[in-house]
Amino acid sequence: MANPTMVAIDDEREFTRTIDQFFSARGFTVHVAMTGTSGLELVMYHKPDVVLVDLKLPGMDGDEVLQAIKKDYPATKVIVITAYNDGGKTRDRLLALGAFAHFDKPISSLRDLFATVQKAVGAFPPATP
Amino acid sequence: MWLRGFYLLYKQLGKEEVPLKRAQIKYSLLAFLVAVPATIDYIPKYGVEFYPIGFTFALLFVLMTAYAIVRHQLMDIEVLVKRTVVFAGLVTAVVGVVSLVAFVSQDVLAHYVAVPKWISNILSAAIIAGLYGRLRDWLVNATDTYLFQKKYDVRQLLKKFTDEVMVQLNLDQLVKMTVETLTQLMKLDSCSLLLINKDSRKFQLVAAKGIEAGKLELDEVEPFMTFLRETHEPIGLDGELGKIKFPEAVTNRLKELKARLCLPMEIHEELVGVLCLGKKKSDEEFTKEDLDVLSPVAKTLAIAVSNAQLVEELQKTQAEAAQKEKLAVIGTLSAGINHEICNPLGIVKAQCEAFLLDQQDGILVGKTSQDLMDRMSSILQVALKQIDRATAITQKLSNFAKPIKEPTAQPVSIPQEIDEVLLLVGHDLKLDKIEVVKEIDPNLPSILVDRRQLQEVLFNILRNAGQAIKPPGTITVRAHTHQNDVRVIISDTGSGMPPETLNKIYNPFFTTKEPGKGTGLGLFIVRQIVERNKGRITVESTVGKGTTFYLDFPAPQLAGAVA
Repeated sequence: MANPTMVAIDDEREFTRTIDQFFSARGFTVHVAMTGTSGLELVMYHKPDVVLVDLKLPGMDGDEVLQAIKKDYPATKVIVITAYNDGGKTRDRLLALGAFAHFDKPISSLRDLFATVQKAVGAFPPATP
Repeated sequence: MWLRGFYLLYKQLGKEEVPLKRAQIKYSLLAFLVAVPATIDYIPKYGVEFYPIGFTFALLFVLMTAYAIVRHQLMDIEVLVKRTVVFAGLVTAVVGVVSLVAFVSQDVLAHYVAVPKWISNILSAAIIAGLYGRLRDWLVNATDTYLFQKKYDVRQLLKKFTDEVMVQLNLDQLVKMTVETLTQLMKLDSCSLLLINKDSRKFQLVAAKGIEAGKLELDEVEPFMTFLRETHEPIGLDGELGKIKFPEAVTNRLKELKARLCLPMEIHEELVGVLCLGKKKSDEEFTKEDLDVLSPVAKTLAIAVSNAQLVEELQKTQAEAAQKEKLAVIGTLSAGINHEICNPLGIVKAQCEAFLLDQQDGILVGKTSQDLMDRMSSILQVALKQIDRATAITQKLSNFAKPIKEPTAQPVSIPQEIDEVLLLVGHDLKLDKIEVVKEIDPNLPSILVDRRQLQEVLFNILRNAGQAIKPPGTITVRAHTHQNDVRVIISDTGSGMPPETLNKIYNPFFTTKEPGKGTGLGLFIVRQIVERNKGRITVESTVGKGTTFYLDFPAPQLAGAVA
């Protein structure tokens, strides 16, 4: 089985760099983008197993990215990260829209994120039976 | 007969309560007593050899009586004495000048050069002509001040009160000026003012001159206060009032306040304060004429005090409303602020954790120590940068959120303040897909305003602009010099306002925003702040096109360059 593929979309360069390093070191192929539009292009091109996306992005935001992916690539798992704390309202909305999981910023632990990403990838049916 | 006379005087001295009368009697009695030994001059008439020293006592009698006449108005010869003193003073001066000039020119200078007599005469005349007016005024003034302290100028008193005292809107200043003015113009030993504290319902001594009462607080139900409240009449020890037998509790208060006259200050029949006047320096009584002047003074003073209190309360409410508005605005900002604080924290946390997890998971095994050092220093550099970023925004925010106690004008750079405020609102605008364009003249002179208040103004207008725009849109911030002012122009491509809305935007509590989004105080406070900082705010708006605010602040440098 090929390395699982991830696209990370966040306008914070330092953040995507950390995600890239961390997941690359653990056997992922990671592609990063700073805007929703370029992120969606990466998704179209690489057809990743999992997408990490920040909710608030300049231009096209996380909501729209999530909906576009769910429409065209329903198998791709989308994990949304938000800096909002509105008592779970946003979280519920995102999960209803088809997000695989939701993380608050700052992320409680990379360990948790990794576990969730792995779950997302593991839940993905193997390419070869 | 003599003894009977002494006895009557002495008895009257014990009874008399008016200080002036007491003084008159005291000096008469003393003068007559001193005069008694003068009778020894009659002894030689009966053949006894004796040097008649009695005349010295007679002289003392005359001196003492004269003193009593002048100082304590023993007889009504004041005008006569006053004129005489002034006249005598003037004559002395004229004679003095003439003889001095004559002496200098004829006796001293004559040793060296011969000075014709007509020159010295003309010189004397010139000096007298120059000095006469001023000398007369000085003499009149001096006799008034030192010999006759009773006369005060009613017109001057009323003029000072209506022109300077009553217009004071600062309560502290008002009460202080009141006691100062009364003490000075009526020539009083003391003066004080009690005002009711509306919370504790106690009358507090708020201003005093010539008494050391310290922190005096009188309950509103105590006899002194009750008397004033229920009678609506003054309390006093002089004249007609002196004939009224006041309860001891009341007169004791008068003594404590060193007052001979206390006037109630009332608003709509309600007692709000007491004006207490001490003894006149001349020992004179407060007359009916005094009361006719002072009663209206006390009445208008009550109105002035009540005005000052209302202004104080209004200012307090306004400051509270302004702070509320500011906090409300900050609340609506939280998304952007959160972004700017949580993102740096998230980055620092992720970088540190990634390194530790890499170590635990054995990913770092086999790396050279140089590799590890490079990675570590990269993490630390990122961490420091992000910490600074989060610190900057929290500092800006807490500075902005603090209530402004005393506005202080200082030289402020417009471009710098615009940048600071954009740091706070910019993220929100960016997230809302609103572009901010800056066209700022880099060589703008500084303006003299309160820095934080200016930030508040820019903040409010930018925030409103952002809310008026249905994304996407643009806010343009321009700043340049305009005549003697620095002009800041903030325009948005938002929905704009019709003229009827435009007329109301500065009204308090007027808002077109959804409930909870605005208090309706933003622009009301903005205009107040701008005007308080000597600026002007104007607005133009077209429905469907957008709104433009113009802020003009005087720039001292520009005005200086023109002058």
